[in-house]
Amino acid sequence: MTSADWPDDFEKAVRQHLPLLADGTALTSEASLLALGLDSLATVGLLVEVEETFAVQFPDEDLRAETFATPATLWAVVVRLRDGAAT
Amino acid sequence: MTGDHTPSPLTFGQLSVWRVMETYPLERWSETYLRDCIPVPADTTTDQVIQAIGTLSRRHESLRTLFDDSQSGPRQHVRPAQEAVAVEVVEHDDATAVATRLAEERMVRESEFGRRFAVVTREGAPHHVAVVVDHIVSDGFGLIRLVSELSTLMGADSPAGERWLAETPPAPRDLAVEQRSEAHHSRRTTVVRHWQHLLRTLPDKHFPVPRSAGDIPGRIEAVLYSAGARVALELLSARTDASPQTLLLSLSAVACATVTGAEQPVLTLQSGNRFDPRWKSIVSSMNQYAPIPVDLGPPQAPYGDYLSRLSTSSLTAYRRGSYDYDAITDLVRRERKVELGFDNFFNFMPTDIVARPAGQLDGYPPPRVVQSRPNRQIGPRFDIKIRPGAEMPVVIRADPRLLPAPRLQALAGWFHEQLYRLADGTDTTVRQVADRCALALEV
Repeated sequence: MTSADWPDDFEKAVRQHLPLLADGTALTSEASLLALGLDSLATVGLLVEVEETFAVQFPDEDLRAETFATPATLWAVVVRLRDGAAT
Repeated sequence: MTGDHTPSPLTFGQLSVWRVMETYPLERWSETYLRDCIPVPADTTTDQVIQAIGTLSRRHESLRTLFDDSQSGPRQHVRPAQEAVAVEVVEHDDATAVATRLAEERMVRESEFGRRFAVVTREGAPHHVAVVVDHIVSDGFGLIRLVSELSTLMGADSPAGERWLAETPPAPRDLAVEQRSEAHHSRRTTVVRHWQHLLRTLPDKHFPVPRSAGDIPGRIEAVLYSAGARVALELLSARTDASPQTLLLSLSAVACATVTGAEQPVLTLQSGNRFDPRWKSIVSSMNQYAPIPVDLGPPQAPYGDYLSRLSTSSLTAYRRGSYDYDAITDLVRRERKVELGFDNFFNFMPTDIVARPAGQLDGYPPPRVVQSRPNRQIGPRFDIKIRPGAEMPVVIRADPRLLPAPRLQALAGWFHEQLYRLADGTDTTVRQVADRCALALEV
């Protein structure tokens, strides 16, 4: 998966919760969000923003550290929930 | 924005404050008030300071809201903005002493706005504004906004204040309407299901945590200051892929299990509930208590497994941390025949502690543990708060019947030692950490 696979809204939401990701630096799909400064509270902020932006609701089963490990893991859950909601 | 002046329901955060404080004796309420002292820029006159306070009060509904109870529950009454605001002017060298005096008497919510201001002067010239607010008016974040805006209004250089003054502040009444709207039905249902799951899966003796009886003989406090522990935490975070918050929560949960004897303790997080950008900077009380069940797991299991479970529980607790306190109270009464209660608090406040793989564990001043008697002598019996700063103060407040002073001091020191032992790889299992905590408390 590459950043081309997710929309700009997703990239924008993720980037603004990563204080250690410099402007102009690419957000790669396998980047560690924790290493880029995504702390516990920022994780919830990101979660809320993604839920609002993509009109999905994360069930408790998806509220795991693994979901927020990288942009790719998070986007995969969003896609699953969004597609599930559409059916 | 809400435009009429009819009574409105409370936001979930306001309702939580109302219900929690109902459990405290009236004469102890003032211990919970937030207070601050704001420097007045040179050459600012007392009249200018009073005008600035008036502008602040016109901007924020919370500063001109009365509260009362009714058959349908507590309500808020927002009063029209007044041109002039009554402000006390006090000649005194020490603004902190003035703030302490302002906080002595309980604010009667039905007839008094939940804030008090005093302009503190020296030889007639203002040098500070002392401010005290009822927790139903604002939490700590809201107070930061108030202080920043007031500083800017008095002429100080405050970028945050300037930014906030350029915005129309969000109104608690609007938030209350949204939280109770049909559009939020699904969220409310999800939160109730979360609580039903907690009630179904946690034993009666651990959840809800029984309320404190009497709050006598008060609270004692010990604070660990350790620059080395902070570096160890950052190093450990990089090595484990667990956030600094989760790591200190993990130690706090082990400490709680050791102190209380609970094998699977339930801690309480304070969810700031400022995750939605529209309400992020509201001046109100948004904090709500969020229970987090802790599964320590098999004693010999790797510490990393425990961290992973805890991270999940923490995320869930924060996400489900905005709830209708009365609806959850009703649920708990139905299911358990007891009142909703919370204890074993954990609050991680720093935002500047991050994973750093290159930290060095030596070369720091020795850790210090300072004991004190906190202003607030009421509230949780076991309460751990991590404050920001180079020495990362770990503040442990306890009921001395649960944790006498010598053991409290030993526990504070254990946090330093344990962070080092996890960071350098000496300890790797839950059993090792729990045993070391128990050993530290054998004083």
